[in-house]
Formats: sequence, C-alpha cells, structure tokens
Amino acid sequence: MELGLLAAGIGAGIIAIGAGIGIGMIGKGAVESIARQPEASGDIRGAMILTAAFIEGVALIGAIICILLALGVGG
Amino acid sequence: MFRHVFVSQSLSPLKVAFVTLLVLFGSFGVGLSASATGVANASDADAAETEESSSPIDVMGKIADHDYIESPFGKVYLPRIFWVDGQFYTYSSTKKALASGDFIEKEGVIYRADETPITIDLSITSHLVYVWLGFILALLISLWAASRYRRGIGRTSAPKGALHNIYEILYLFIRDDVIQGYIPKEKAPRYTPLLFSMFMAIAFMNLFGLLPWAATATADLTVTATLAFVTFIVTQASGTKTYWGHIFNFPGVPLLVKFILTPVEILGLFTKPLALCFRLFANMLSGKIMIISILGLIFIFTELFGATVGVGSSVIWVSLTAVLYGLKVFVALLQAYIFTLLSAVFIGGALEEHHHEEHDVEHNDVKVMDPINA
Amino acid sequence: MMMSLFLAGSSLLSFNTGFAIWILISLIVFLGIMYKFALPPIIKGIEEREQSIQSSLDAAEKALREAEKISKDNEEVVREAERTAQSIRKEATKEVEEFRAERMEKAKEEAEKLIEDAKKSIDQEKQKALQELRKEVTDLTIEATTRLLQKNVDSETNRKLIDETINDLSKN
Repeated sequence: MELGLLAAGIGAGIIAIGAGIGIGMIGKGAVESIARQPEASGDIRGAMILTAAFIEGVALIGAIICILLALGVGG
Repeated sequence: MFRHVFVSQSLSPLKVAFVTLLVLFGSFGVGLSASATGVANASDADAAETEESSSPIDVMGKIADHDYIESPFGKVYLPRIFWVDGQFYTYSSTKKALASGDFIEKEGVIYRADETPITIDLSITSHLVYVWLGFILALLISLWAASRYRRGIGRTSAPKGALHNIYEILYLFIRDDVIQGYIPKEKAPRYTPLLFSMFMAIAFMNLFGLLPWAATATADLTVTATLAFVTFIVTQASGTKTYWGHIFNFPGVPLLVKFILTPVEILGLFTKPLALCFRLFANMLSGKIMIISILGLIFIFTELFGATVGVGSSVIWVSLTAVLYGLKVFVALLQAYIFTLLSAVFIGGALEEHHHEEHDVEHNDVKVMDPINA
Repeated sequence: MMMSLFLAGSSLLSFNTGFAIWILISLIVFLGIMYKFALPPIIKGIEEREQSIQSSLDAAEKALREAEKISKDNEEVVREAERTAQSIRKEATKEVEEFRAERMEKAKEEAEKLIEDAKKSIDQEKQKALQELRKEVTDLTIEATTRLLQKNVDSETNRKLIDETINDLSKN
C-alpha cells in the first residue's frame, strides 16, 4: 500500500523533472530567438506555447497515471 | 454600488481587487469550515467514516461532482433524474429519491429498489450547473455584444466601453492569431464561430471555478472529454483526401512500413483529443487542489500544533493563496486559449489539401541524379 | 454521506455518460444560439467595420494619388504653357527678324535700283550732252574753219575731215 503511494510520488517527481527540462529548453530557445529576432516575437511565442502544450500533455498523462496509482492504493 | 466603487477616483483598481479577494477568501474560509463541520457531523452519524476522513478538510469533496451546489447561503440540492431499463424517474433531490422507496443506497451506490443498477444517471449535478452557468454567461455577453453591433456601435464606430472592447479584443485575437494562423484563410470563417464559442465557454467555466464556493466544471473529465469529442468530430468531419490518405496510405513509404505506420496514425487520431481533454482537466484540477490544500494547511496546523500556530501561520498560507489565485486567473484564460489553439491546429491539419514535402524531395532527387546521369 | 453517494458513481477519473449527454445537449443548444443569434451580427459588424476602415484607407490613398497626379498634371500644363510661350516668342522674334531682313533687302534693292536709274539717266544725259557737245564742237569748228579758210576749202570735204578728227578725238 505504502509502496504504491511512494511509486506515485516518485513518478510525479520524475514527470516534473522531465517536463521542467523540456519546457525550460523551449523557453530558453524562445527567449534566445526573440532576442535575436525581436520582430518575429509573435510567431515565436505562438510556436513556444504550442510546443509547451504538447510537452505538458505528455506530462499530464503521466500525472494522471500517478493520481490513479495513488487513488487506487490510498483511496 | 459596485459601479460607484469602480468609478470613484480615490479607490484604485488594485485596492478594489484586494478587497474583493479578501471578501472571496473570507467566504472560502466559511465554506471550508462548513465542509469540515459537515464531515464532523457525518462522522457522528457513521463511525466507520470517521476513520476514513481523519483530515479536517475534504479535498476530494471540494473537487468532485455533487448532487448539490454550494452557495454563500448554504447547500442547494439538485434534482435527480434516473433512467433505468427504459423508464424515467425524477426526484427533486437524492433524499426524496431514497425516501420514495423506489431507490436504495448500497455502499455509496444508488440502485433501484429491485437492485437493478441505474442505466444512465441523468441527474443535474453541481458541475452541470456550472457548465450551464458558463454557457449562459458566454451567451449573455455575446448577445449583449451582438445587440450593440446591431445598433451600430462597433460596426460603424469604434467599440465603446471596457467590456465591449475586451470582447472585441478577444474575438479578434481568436480569429486572427489562433484560427487564421493555423487554418487556411479561405476556410477559417467556417470554424471561427465554433472555436470562439468554445473559447468563451471554457474561459467562463474556468473563471467560475475561481469563486471559492463554486465548482470548476472543467476540472471534471466528463466535461473536458465532451468538449474534446466535439473537436474530434469536427476534425474528422473536415478531413480532406490528403488527410485520410496520410492516415491509411502514407505516401512515399514502402508497403511494409505502411503496416506499422497506419496503426500509429490511427492511434494518433485518438491520442490528440485525449491529450486535449486531459490537459484542460488536469490543469484546472491541479489548480483547485493546490489552493484547497494550501488553505487546508491552516486547519491541519491547527489540529497538529494548536489554534495559535494554525491562525498565526495562516498569514503565510493566505498570501501564498493570493499569489496562486493570480496565477489561476492567468491559467484559466491560458488553458481556454490553448484548448482553442490546439483545436484549431488539429482542424487545420485535417484541412491540409496538399503536401509539399514529398514533391520537394522528389524534385531534389531528380535534380541530384541528373548531373550524375549526365 | 450524500457526497459519498455521488462520488462512488463518479470518482475523479471516471466518465459519466448521463452527465456527458447533458453537456452535449447543452453544448448543442449553446452553439446553436451562438451561431443563430449571437455571433452573426458580431462577425458581420466587425467585418463591416474592417472593410469600411480598409475602404476609407484605400479611398484616402486613391485621393492622395489623384491629388499627386493632378499636381503633376498642373505642373505639366504650366510647363507646356511656358514652352508654348517660349516658342511663340521665338517665332515672333524670328518673324520680326525675317521681316526686317526682307525690308532691308527691299530697301537695298530699291536703293540700288535708284542708283542704277540715276546712273543710267546720268549716262544718257552724258551721252546726250556729249552728242550735243560734239555737234556744238563740230559746228564751232566748222564755223571756225570756215572763217579761217573761207573759200579755200570745200565745205563738204572739210566737214568730213573734221568729223574724222573729232571722232579720233572722241576715241581718245
């Protein structure tokens, strides 16, 4: 029982690390490109949000699995 | 009265916002303590449940769907509608349904008296009420704006008033940046009303969730799944020959690869709206859980270390919640935007008429090979 | 307790069919009203305004271009007029010059003619005078010779002789 909760917690942490790295890299790329080409900032922002949304989607599916784990064990 | 407050110059909008937040948090606290006492009462009634919910606040109870809506004046019970074996049963509340004798409750699940499970539970729930509220608010504002445009304000002159301006900015943003950015321009007008309506509805549902006693309708998987289902249907319905060709018969790859690629593409058909629905659901849910948990720390601290520590530490939790609330307002609008954006991207992808890449590759190959042959 | 009644049917991640049906119905009604009543005036209104702004911008640009064209035309006209004036003046000057030259020529010719006539008449007068003079001289000479010779000389023969002499003289 406790191990299941632990798994859910560790899973959520790993998801956070992965998504954080991914979104951080997107942010880095976007900020750098905006600094290099301020006139294209609108397009870059749109692409950034889109890509971040895709990463977020993957991360959220992982998070849902973690919630399922935690609920299945603890709830 | 509010008009007066907003108009008077001595009160800055920041102050007004602060006061409003204080009032909101005050009612939130009332709601939380009410639910805490509710749990306490329930534990009095049922000793078994006391062990289960030892936590002073019920996080899951705050985010789950209910057969009542919480208001600042207390609970309002909603009608129950059951459909069992081709027969409708309607009651004004769950209590009435059980009191009538036609339905019994067993381990938290409602059955008909003869123990047949309910086929479809068409009850009005708290989330449904907030879905309706979101729709109605979006409709009212749109109809109000429409009447203004019909009268000529905004059509022949510039839009007047903050609300009208905000409405138009949102509309133009959705139309120009979201829809026309991803859907071919000649086909965009067909999808503008749908996507803008979805944006408005989701935004209002998200924003309703910010009310302390209200439920976030979009923090319910059923709601987001239904919304994503609409996107899915529209996407498939507007799919062109190229789109279907790319799914079932990917051009330019050998037959063996097609056997692997087609299932992947078909899977991708469903994962896209699935991710869409989970994204909105999880974002709204996590925000709600976070706020309740952080405010709940006051009660947990009170239980663990006594009332002094609990009340003293509340300064930290309340200020943290205030920051989170600001973030949640942003996230509420951002998620509505992202839902609309991704819907537009999916629909735009389905509308793609002609794929340039293969042709370019073919041309390049020819160009590369010609000099060698020559 | 009531809450738990509901939760069992719809936990956090479950899909509630009845609820979905409600949402779908409300969504269709919502979209229907939006499509039918709310959005068309908004979409049309904004489009109309955009078009009117665009058309007024276009009209302004067109007017500007027209004004530019008109001013250019005006300039052209002024330049044309100047050119015409210049050419007229030049022509007039030329005409005057020609006229003057013609008059001068004519005057010269007339003067020459006059001089010629005068010379001719002078010549005639001179011839006449010479002839008269010759006759006079001849007469005088004859008289003088007659006086000198009297009878001696036949008047006829002498006259001949004197004429020859005078002719010689006149040749000189």
